[in-house]
Amino acid sequence: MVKNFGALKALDRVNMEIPRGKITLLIGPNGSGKTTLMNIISGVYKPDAGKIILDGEDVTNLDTHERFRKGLVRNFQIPRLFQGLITLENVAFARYGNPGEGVISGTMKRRWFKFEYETLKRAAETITFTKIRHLWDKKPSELSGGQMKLLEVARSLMPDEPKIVLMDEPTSGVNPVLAHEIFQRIRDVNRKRRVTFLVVEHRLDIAVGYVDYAYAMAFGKVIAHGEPEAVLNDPRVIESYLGG
Amino acid sequence: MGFLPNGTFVMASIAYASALGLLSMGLSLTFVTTRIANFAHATIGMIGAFVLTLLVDRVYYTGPSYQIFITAPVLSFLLAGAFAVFMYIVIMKPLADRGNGVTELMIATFAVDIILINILSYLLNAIRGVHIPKLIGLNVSSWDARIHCCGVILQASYIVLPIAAILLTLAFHFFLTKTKFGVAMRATIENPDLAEVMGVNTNMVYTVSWFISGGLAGVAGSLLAFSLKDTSPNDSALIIVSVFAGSIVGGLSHVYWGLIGGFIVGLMEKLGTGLLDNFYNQLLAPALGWTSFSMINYEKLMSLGLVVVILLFAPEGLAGVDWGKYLRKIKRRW
Repeated sequence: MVKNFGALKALDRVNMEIPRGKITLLIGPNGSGKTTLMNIISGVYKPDAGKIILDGEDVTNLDTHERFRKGLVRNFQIPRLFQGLITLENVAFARYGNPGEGVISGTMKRRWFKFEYETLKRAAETITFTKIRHLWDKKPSELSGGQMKLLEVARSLMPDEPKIVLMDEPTSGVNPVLAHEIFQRIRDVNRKRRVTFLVVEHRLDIAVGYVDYAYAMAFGKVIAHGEPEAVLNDPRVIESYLGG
Repeated sequence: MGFLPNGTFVMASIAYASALGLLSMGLSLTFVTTRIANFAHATIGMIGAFVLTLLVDRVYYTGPSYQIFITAPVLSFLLAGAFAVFMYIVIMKPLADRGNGVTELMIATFAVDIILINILSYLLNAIRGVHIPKLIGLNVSSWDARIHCCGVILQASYIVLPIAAILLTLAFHFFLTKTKFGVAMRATIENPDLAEVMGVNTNMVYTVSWFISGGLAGVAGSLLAFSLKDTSPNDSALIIVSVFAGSIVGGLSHVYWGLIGGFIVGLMEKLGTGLLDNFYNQLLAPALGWTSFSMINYEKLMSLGLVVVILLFAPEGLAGVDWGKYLRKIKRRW
């Protein structure tokens, strides 16, 4: 994968393979290209060169919403939620495929009622699973930063078959106890539903206990990958953090 | 109270205000979805006036007909909506995709406006009337049915326009709140990036918003044409001032407030100016021995003056005012 912003090489021939059904950690100092990579995988940016293969299918030329429908879900560093919707609705919104989504079919209740009912039921189960059920009727303005992160985790699970969830710093701005809670929920989802995760995280001490694999980036390149402990102790990684 | 305007004038003012409301609502819709201030919006509305003129010549040339109040708005909605989609997909979206900002896009809409005015003028000049020799400058008010009501004779369009504005607003509200596509549109308006990563085809939402916006303008234009002195696309140059005034008074980022803002500006322009004119010329000037003069030609001063006043006291327009606070105050007083 190659991406340049003018003279800046944001991604310089980055090649990654995210193991299916695992939690992969992506680390690197600021400016190493992590968020650019997340933006390219989710379709916000188009790469200058390279391909994104999702489950054997080339999705490089698909728009963001089309990738979502293929099972590629993305969360943001600062939670982005619909401010006018309550927790349950914010989660339910993420399920795609409602037969009432057409301009005409939306007016025919019979065609979408069952799907809508199942969606709300599943949203209720999902927020129970992520332990925010008691907040089901709260609007985002009434939630703490950590609760919003958990809501985003819950939302990631709503598509019928999420293949991979990209999480950008899921524990930023959250106290250590809740940060562990968030990673615990991510691991629960991963273990029980076999959903693949790619997680960008700066709090390595917390993240390392929950992930299966790790990539480290610096100056737009992958400098190490493998077992999380091994990557963290790699001299090139230590140098990139100290030097960066 | 001899200076009060008569019923016909009041109804004409309400009709004009309703048309401005529809136009301002459409303008706010495309602004709130695609952040494009569309200066061609009133001329897109003139497509409706063009459709009406053609229908008068080809179908309803024998005289007034109530049928025209169905055919003209429906055809105008579709044609003006289609043009708005064409404008968005072929001109505005490629320009926006190439990184042009709000200013560049706004100037591009000026260019489209001038091109469209010329195309419509050319067509009205070039198309040979079948039953009416000269289409450009045609006064179509003669084809507006007359209704006898409460002792006055009203043009039917004065009644149809407010009804059309109410029905279209209700339909739009139903679309936004009761259909899944409407929910997707609201989500896109609130947070386009999030809507996109949640699987909403935001491009489709933008395109549909331009279609609706153009359609509303077309309906307003087709029915307003009955009140215009003659069918000329150049009229849009003046109407767009009031349309923007309406959107700004309402609060440019709020669709329904655009409707209210447009309605208020329309009433101020027609009814407000009429009242002021009557008050001055019939009461004040004779009493004080001052020279009388017609204020009717200065109606745009009312709308622009209102914009200045509103922006001074409510920078975000009427939508930004905490109405709940004032309502609570009133409740406490009473």
